[in-house]
Amino acid sequence: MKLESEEKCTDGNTSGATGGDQAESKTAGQPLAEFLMQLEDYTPTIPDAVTSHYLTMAGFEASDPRMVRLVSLAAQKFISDIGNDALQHCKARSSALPNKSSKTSKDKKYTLTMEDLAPALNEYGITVKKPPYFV
Amino acid sequence: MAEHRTVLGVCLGALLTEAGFDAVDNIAYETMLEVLTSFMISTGNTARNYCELAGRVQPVVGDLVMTYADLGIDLRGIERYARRQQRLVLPALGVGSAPRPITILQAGSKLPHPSHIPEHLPAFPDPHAYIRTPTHKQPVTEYEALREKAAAQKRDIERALTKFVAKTGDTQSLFTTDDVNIFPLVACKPHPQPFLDALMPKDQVFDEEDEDLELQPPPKRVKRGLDLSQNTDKDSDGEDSSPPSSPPECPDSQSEVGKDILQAEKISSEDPIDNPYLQAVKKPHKYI
Repeated sequence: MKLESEEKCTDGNTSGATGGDQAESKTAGQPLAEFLMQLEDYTPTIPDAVTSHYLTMAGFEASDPRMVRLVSLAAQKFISDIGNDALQHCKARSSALPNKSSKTSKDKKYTLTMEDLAPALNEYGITVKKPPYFV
Repeated sequence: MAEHRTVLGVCLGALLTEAGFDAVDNIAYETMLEVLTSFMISTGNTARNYCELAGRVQPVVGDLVMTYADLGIDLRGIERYARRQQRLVLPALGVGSAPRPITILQAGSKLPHPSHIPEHLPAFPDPHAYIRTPTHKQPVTEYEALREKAAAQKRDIERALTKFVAKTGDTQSLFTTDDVNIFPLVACKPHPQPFLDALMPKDQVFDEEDEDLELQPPPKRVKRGLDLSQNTDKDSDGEDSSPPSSPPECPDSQSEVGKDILQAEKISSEDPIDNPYLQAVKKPHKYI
């Protein structure tokens, strides 16, 4: 299995990886494979049943429950990254506002709106254009 | 179907809370939910394709690696992410039990499924569903009882019919006493030409009633005519007159009580056998 992953790593190398961490991306399969072994005691936020339901819907029959956890973990990380980016956008927006009428220096209550989410998603290649109202 | 989506929504909420958001717009929430769902489905799809491309049926880690590389998803920091300190672990979602059907009105225990019926099919109804209450008395089917019943019925019918005919028709008595009713026998009706019955067999009997009416002494009806002399004339004529037509004409002209009484006396004196069913229709008295 290690051989296989190494072969496939070379293909994966061409997409996504930027300059500095070529060494790491070359063997991206290995750490992942090792990480899989450590997944047994870790429970992701998204339950296994939900993830396996969606995977089964797509045709992915997971024989190993660790693979399901890996997928759910990957999904979680993806969403968290988007959320973090959106939060940064939101903070930038609120700090740009000159008014000091808010109780504390920074607006403690952050609400995720489409204004912040759209540029965050754009960075990940997802273009979202939603009309603000329905005609 | 929607349960998975709901659970996924809850997880999304937890993730966003972890990221630092306190609230989320409905549209943004739905968008993120779609992103999450689509991520998982496309991962599964692409992984399956890679797996099948390699000639396998069960996917392997390598397929997942290829999938993420293909989708352009960077998983370099995943280990660090997994070990993050502030991760929220949602309480394990318990499997909700299916709402049990209300057993308040249950009477008795239901029959278990026979072996050829799988368990996931609905259970049998309560045992009172099998009770059969006939709405009528079951008919007797025993041969002996039926024969006896038939014989008794036949006997009763015969007795009742003969009694009826004896009470309403002509009777003859074998005894010399005047009381006719102690043992009435149905009178024999001598036919003027008895051999005719043998020579002309009949299979339909409705002509008999008309015959009976004709044989009846017509004077009874014709008496309701205007004069006594007329009655005697018609007496001699006998059966040719048509009795039913005369009564409707007469009573209109005779509206006096006295004449009615006279007629009534006449009837009683001439004919001792008084058959109430063969009497002419009596119109109600008009009291002046």
